[in-house]
Amino acid sequence: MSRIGGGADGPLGAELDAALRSGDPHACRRAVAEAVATAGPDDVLDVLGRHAAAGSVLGTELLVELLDESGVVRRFVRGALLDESAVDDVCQDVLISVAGSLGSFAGASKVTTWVHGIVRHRVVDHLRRQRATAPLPDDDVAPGARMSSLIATRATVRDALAALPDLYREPVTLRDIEGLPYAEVADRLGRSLGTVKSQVSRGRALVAAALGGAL
Amino acid sequence: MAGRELMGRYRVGDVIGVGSFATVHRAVDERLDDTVVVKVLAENHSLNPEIRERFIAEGRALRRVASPHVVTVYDIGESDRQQPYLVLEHADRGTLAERVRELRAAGWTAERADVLAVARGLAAAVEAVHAARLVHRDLSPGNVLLRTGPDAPAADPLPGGTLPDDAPSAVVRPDERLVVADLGMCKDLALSSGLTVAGGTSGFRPPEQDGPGTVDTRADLWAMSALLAWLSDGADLPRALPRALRRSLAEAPARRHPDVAAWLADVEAALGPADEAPGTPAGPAAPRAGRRRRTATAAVVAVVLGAGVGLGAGLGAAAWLDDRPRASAGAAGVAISGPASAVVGEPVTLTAQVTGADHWVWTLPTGAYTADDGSVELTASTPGRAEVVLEARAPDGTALTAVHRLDVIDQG
Repeated sequence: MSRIGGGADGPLGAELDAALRSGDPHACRRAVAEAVATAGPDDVLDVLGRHAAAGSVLGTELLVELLDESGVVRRFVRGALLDESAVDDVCQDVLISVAGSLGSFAGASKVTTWVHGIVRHRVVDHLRRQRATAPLPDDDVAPGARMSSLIATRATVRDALAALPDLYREPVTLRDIEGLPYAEVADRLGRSLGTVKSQVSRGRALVAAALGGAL
Repeated sequence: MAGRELMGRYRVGDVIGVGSFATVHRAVDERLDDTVVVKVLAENHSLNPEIRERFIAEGRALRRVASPHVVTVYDIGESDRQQPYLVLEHADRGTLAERVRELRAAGWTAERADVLAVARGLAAAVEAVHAARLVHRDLSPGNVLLRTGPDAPAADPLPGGTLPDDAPSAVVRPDERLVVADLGMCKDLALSSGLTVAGGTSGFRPPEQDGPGTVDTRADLWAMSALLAWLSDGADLPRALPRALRRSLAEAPARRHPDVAAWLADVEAALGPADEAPGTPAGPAAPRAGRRRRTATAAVVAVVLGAGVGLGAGLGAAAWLDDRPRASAGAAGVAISGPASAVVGEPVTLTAQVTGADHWVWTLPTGAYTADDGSVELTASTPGRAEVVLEARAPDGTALTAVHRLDVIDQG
């Protein structure tokens, strides 16, 4: 169903496919940027989704990046929630769910349709947590919070963290293992607060993806 | 107003409406010290992500519409119970449904000025909605509001508003403005998913909105026509009006008016220039003067006949305008007997032949109604062609219609 560059086998789609098979991150990012500029994110997400579902680590990384960067996830979340901090939290929960359940993505449906379904589940989880007045049981925490505590405490998770690209490993380590506030992580890395939040969010999602459905 | 609960900065008061998915409260904006309306999504629906999305989307969509005839969205928020709410302009004069109910109780039927005032306000509202690339989808008498504050002429360019100022309307009074409320986004979903039983507005929903599929701006033209038909039910208005309305009541959207401006132009043309008194024969034949005194009584019967048992008047109006009339259903049937031609100035008698129905309504060339008369006597005033319609309802509810055409010739 991809319409990149005039069809799934069009020049941009084919270029992105080839770049993903070669495993060259720079070529992939270039191909993604070009295809997004030409055709918008939807079709590119579909190509990345197919590779990610087939087990491509690079495909997963690019998919999580593009879902976050293009605002697709945020737009869906903002359709159902009004509070900005709730939107931030649920966006992160969604990225983790997406990365952790790529195996359930049937390549036949559109990535955006599949992600919208996940958004709705995470929104409902969030609303239920907010509405509950009793203290939360351990299994009723958001994926973001659970991921953070897993990263801090479990050895297998720390192995997955070690395999992350530097870009994501550093902020996640500072945030979830050293327990620094976002502002201090941003300070130490010389990055903006927004960038760091986004990188921690994507990094946690990639750890979740590395662990598969084992959570 | 005894404020009960604070929602954001709004002190929520009396319930002024309960829909299938939301509750509407009168409220006070404590910072700006003004009365507003707070519409809160029902608690059970607030956890349904699809309905929640539609509710929020409706607020954002309404916000994009800039018109004094479309309800203004001031704010959007969430309650402590995670229920989204919209803060809306307060329409202090109630709904069109309430106004017309009160007027009808006092024996009122619509005048030209009433139909024009509603048609123009609706047209301005719906045109603004369409300009924002939205379809309203829920135009009904309960969803059209009245508030203090007449139109500012400069701020309110009316499509085709070229007629001179008209007599004041009893429906939209000179110090009032018509305001269209909620879009039907949530209601559509609620109906199509079987979440709720259809409310009283079903007679104002175009046929294509009952099933899945695309709905475009012409769905609103259908509802606008149904609304004017409901408003003019039983009224002594030119026969050209139902003809104009009937076009946009076509089942196939392609056969309706192309847009709001064309619809309004047709309605205005049907109602004629301002100097023509209502009730002046639109066709060549006119009933005797004494006939018109019966209209008020006949109108009541027409409403009862049209509405059937337990159905809204909107359904009756739609039946009145159905463009595929049937003369019989089972053992029931209607027919008109009488001459096929008449001479100007000479009375002609037409006789009703009704089987299987106890009540019937004549529609005369002037647009006037008369009920249950065995025959009517008409005297044509000018040569041409005239139509007399006889309607009844079969025991199974089918609308029965017979049309008699008269060729009126000059005596020479």
